[in-house]
Amino acid sequence: MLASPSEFAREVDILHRLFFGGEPSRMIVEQYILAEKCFQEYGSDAFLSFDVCSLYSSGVDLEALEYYLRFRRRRNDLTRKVGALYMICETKSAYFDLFISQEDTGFGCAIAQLLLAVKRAAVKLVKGRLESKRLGLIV
Amino acid sequence: MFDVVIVGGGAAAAAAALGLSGLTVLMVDVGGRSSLVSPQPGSGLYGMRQSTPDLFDYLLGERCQSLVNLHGGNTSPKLKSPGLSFVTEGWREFLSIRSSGFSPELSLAKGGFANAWGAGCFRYLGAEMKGFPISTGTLEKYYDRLTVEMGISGEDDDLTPFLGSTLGLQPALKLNPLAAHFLERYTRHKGVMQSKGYFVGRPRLAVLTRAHGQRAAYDYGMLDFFQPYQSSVYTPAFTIDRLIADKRVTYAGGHLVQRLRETEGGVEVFARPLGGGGEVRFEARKCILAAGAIGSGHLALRSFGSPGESLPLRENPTSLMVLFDPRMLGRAQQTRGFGGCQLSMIYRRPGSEESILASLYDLGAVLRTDVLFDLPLPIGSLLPVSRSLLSAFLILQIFFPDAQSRSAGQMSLEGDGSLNIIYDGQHSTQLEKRFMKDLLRLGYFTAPPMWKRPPAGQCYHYAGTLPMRERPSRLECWPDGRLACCRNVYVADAASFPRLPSKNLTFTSMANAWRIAEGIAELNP
Repeated sequence: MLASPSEFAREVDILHRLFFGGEPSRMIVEQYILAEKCFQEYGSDAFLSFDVCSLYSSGVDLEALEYYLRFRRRRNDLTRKVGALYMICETKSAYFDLFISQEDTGFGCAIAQLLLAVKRAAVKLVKGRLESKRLGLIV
Repeated sequence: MFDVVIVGGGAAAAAAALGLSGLTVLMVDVGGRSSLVSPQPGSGLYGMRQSTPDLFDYLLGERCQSLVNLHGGNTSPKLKSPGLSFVTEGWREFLSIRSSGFSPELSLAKGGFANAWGAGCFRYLGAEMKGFPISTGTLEKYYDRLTVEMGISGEDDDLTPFLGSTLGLQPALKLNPLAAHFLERYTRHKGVMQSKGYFVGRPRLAVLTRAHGQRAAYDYGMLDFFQPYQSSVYTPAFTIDRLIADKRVTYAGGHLVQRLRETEGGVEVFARPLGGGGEVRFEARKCILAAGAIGSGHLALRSFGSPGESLPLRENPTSLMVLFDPRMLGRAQQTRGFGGCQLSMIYRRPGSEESILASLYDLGAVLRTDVLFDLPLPIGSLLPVSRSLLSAFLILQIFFPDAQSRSAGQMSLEGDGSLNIIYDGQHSTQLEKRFMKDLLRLGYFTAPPMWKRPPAGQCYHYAGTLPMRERPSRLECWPDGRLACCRNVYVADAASFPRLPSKNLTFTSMANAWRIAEGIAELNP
C-alpha cells in the first residue's frame, strides 16, 4: 500500500485528470492525502490493494478495471480511492454543477443519455474483465 | 438525598423527567454533544454548496468521518456525517460488546439516538399493544402531552385509523416533488391499493411547521443529515436543557453509570467520571433506568444478574428498496425541501391485525457520492447520468415487527464484564416481492438488486431486555415499570417493551416513561 504523500499526490493527479479533466487544486490534493492517511489508520484491511500510478503507467484502462471490480469485489482500493476523490470534489462549489442539475434536461434527453451510458457500460465491462485477467486478479 | 435518580439522558430519560414534577431529580448521563455549526446559517444545503468554496470540514469532517463507508464501514448516512457522528461516538471505549449476527450501536449523547433520528412519532394502537400488560388507552394522555411538548406535524388522512389522534398536530410539512407525485398516483388508484392493504399518507414527525416557543419552524434547508440541533427538529436534549434551566433536574454529565445497589432507604448509583478520578456514588430514594434497552439491560445484569443469566433482545429488522419512477427522469434537483421522511405507508394484509410501516424518502438530502457508486455504470458515466437519473429514485424503508413468539436476540454478561449478544433473525423477501408487484400498478419499478437488508442492529430500534409482564420474573418489570427483583428500581425505556411492532418505538417509549415516572411521583417518596 502506498504510504508517502508525494505518491498519493501523484495518484490523485492521475485520477482527477482522468475523471474530471485537468489537475486537481492544491486543496483537493491535501484533502486526498488526509483521506488516505485516515484509511491507513482506521480503515479495514480487507481491501484488494492497487498501485494506481503503476497501473496507469502500464496503460491499464483504470475506468474499465474499476467498473469490473466494483461489482465483483467492492472492497478494492480503486473504487475506494475514486470514491474518496468524488466525495472531496463534491464538497467544492466549483464542482457543484457537475454533481447537481438545476435545470430540467427533459425525459427524452435523459433516456438517450441513459441508453448511451448502458452501451458504454457493456464495452467497459468486457474491457474491465480483460484487464482484470491480464493483471491476474482473482475475482 | 434526591427523590429520584434517572440513569441516562435520551428520549425516555427526558420524558421520565417531565413526569417527576415536585420531586428532586438527578440525571446521571455521559452527555456527549456536538459543537458543529453551519458555515452559512439559513442558506440550506444547496445554497451552501453553491456558494461556499470548500465544505470539506462541514460535510466530510476534519477526521474524514464521512468517508467511513468507503473505508469498509456500514454506517447510516446520518450517523457518519461530522455534525451527527457524536451521537454514537465513544461508547466502544467504555463498553465491550461481542456479538454474533448483530451490529449494535449505542449512544452516550445528551438526547441519545434521537439527536439523529427520523423524528417519526407513532402511537401504538390495537394489536400493537398485544403482549403489553397495559393498553393504548393508558398511554393516550401521555401521547397528547408529548405532542405539545415536542411539537409534532402531520395530517388527518388515510393513515389516521392507523396512527391515531390528530389532536394538537401542526400542519404537515410540504412534500418534495417525487413524494407529491407518489401521493398523487396512490390517490388515483386508492380503491385498488387499499383493497390490497396499502394506505399512504403523511407521517407524524417531530418537525415544526410553525414556531413553537423559542423553536423556529423548519426552513426547508435540507440539512437534516448534517446539522445537529436544528431547533425545528425535536431532540430530547431540548427538554433536558429546559428542565435543567428551570431547576427541575440536576444534571450530572460526564458520568458513566457502572452499577446500582439497593439500600434500606433507596438506591446507590455508582458512576465513573469520564474526566478522570475515582468512582462516584450518587444516592436517591428511587432509580429510573433509561439508558436504552442494551444499556439498561447491561446495568441490570451487572447489578442484579446471576452468573450465566441472559436477557432477550428485540429489534426491528429493516429493508431498503429503491423505487424508480421513470416519469421523473430528467428533472432538476430541488434545492429547498425537507430532507427526511416524506410519506408513510402502512401495509395491512387483508384479514390481518398486524400493520407494517414503511417510510418513503428521496435522495435530495444526502451527498451524491453516497449513492453514486451503487449505480451500475462506469465512472465516466456516473455524474452525467446521475444528474438526471437520481431525481427519479425514491427509497422505501420497511420496518418489520420482531418475532412475537420469541426474541431473535439474547444478551448475557461475560466474566470480564463485557456483553455478549447473539442474534438469529431470519427473514424472507416475501414482502419486498409483494411490494414490487403492487407498486408497479402505481408506475414504480424495483427489482431484487435494488434492495438492501442492513445487518441486524442497524435499525437502532432496540427493546425488550427487561420486559413488562403481568407476572414478571426476576429481571422483568411489573406494569408500573418496577424491576421485579428490586423495591426501588424502575425501567422507563424500551427495555421494558415485551414486544416490538413495526412502528418506531421512540414516541411510545417516551409516553410510557412519562407514565411510569408519574406513578413514582404519586407514591411521593
